[in-house]
Amino acid sequence: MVRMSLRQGLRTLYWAFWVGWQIESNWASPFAFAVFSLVKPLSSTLLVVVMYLIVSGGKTSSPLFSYIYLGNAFFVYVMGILMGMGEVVFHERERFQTIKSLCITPLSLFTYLLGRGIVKLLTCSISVAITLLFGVWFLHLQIGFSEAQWGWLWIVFPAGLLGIGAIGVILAGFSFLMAQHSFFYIGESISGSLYFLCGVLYPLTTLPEWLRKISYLLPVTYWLEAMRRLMLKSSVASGVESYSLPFLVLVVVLSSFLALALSYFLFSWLNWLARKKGVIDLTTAY
Amino acid sequence: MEHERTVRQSQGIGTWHELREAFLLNLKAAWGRAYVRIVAQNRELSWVFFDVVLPLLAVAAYVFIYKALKAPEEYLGYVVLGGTMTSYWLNVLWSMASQFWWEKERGLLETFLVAPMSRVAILLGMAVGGIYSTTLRACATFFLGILLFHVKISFQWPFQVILVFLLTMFSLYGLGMIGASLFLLFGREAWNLLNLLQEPVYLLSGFYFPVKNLGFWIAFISSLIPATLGLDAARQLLFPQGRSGFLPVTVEESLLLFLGILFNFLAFKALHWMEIRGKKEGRLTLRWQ
Repeated sequence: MVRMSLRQGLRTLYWAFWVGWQIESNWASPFAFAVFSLVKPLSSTLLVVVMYLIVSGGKTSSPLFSYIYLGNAFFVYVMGILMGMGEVVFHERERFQTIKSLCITPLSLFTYLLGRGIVKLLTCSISVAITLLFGVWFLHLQIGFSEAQWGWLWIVFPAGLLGIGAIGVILAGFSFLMAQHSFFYIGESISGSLYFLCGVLYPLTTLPEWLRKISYLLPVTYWLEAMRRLMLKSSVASGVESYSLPFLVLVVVLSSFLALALSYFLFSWLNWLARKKGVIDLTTAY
Repeated sequence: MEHERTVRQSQGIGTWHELREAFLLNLKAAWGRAYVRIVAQNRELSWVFFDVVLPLLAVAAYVFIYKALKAPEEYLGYVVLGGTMTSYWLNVLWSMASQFWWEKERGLLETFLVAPMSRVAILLGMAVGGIYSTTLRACATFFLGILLFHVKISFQWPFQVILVFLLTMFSLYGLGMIGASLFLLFGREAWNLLNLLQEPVYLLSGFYFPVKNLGFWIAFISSLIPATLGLDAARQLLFPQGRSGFLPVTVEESLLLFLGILFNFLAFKALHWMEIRGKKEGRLTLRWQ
């Protein structure tokens, strides 16, 4: 990895963000982009909402509805950042074929990837904000904050995002060594497994006991539970309700910093391995 | 003799031999496109594994949400059926509708266009191959889903189920062929449009719930997507206890047949029109735009 000064690092971050934002947004007019940004998250959310409404008979005031809605809203970060960061490598390598140019510049690929990841974070935040506002305005989503909870929120929310970003970086590192199809399969498997196991759409008590043991090992489970406790007025027997809020925050923060450290070393090693094997600019087209 | 041949050719009347040659050429082209999907896609066993398991993950999540909501039993079956249909819809989107766009991005579209076979033959081969390979995976997903989640299905009308399936594929892949024509003109927005056509279609077509719950008019407009009618008919046949039908099965079969004929006809017309337009506007070989 190239050693960089802080100033160089910030410049890389800024320009990576700029490139990423251009790619994400300039494929359409501002109006079309706005419609796309609105329709995609809302349709994903409405799918779950309609399923709920059909069975429950329209009771959006139920704590279970808020539980499901918030989990589904925040999971957008997991899918968007996880898959998005790996897609960066795929796009640079296969679609635009600029990875060789990136490798011969004096920037750090890790920093570049973080910059591109910030764009994903921004687009996901727009989706989450739209989803939450829609829920509050039209579906009577019961969100409430208190003075004490803001402090915890400022810690656990970014810590969780950092952990998710770190997993995204690790995936991106592995994607250097994978064909295009393989990356999408593995990325979707990971995000699909998290969707299924982390209590996104239902309390963990719905899962069989042996699956719940896996859920307890996943930091995203605790992150979602913490976010629900901090943002919702009501609660549900979720399967992790016995854990205290400080414990949830500690798990999220520790796991995120561990993931971040691991991601830096793993990404560096995988990047080096890809260059050694001569596959850094390989196009697979399948 | 040569003069007569030239006159016949100028009037668009080929000899029997020429017609036979053209037919065989296009058949070989269709087989060539189908071959990749029938044989090559099964060579990488990890792809087979993921193509079966990935839809099951989404199915599992939605099954458990219905369990948490204590939904009637047949809803678990709706989810398994809907998860199976997502395989076909994603195949239509990513391997059919966007195929020419992928080729354009890789710089291979010119090769397709200068080759002497009909573009329709290419699309037909893609459709047939896509249906075959996706059906193998979708069946595995469907039967695994039934076993894992203890779903009870009815086998009272097996031939009608097969008929509904065939009509749905006929119309769905016809829609995919129209998409293949449209995407010839798209640039980078194609990728985002493909992503946009996933969740909204799952919602509007009632992949995981009876579409009649969306109201008559939304369900009626959504019926333009063949998956809507196909799923609704299949739900009525496989889970008759649910009484979940939007329209009677025979009406839906007729509509699917009509849509299939319409979409395939429009696909042939659209392909020709889009190609001419793309050549005039110089967009057929533009990459990364």
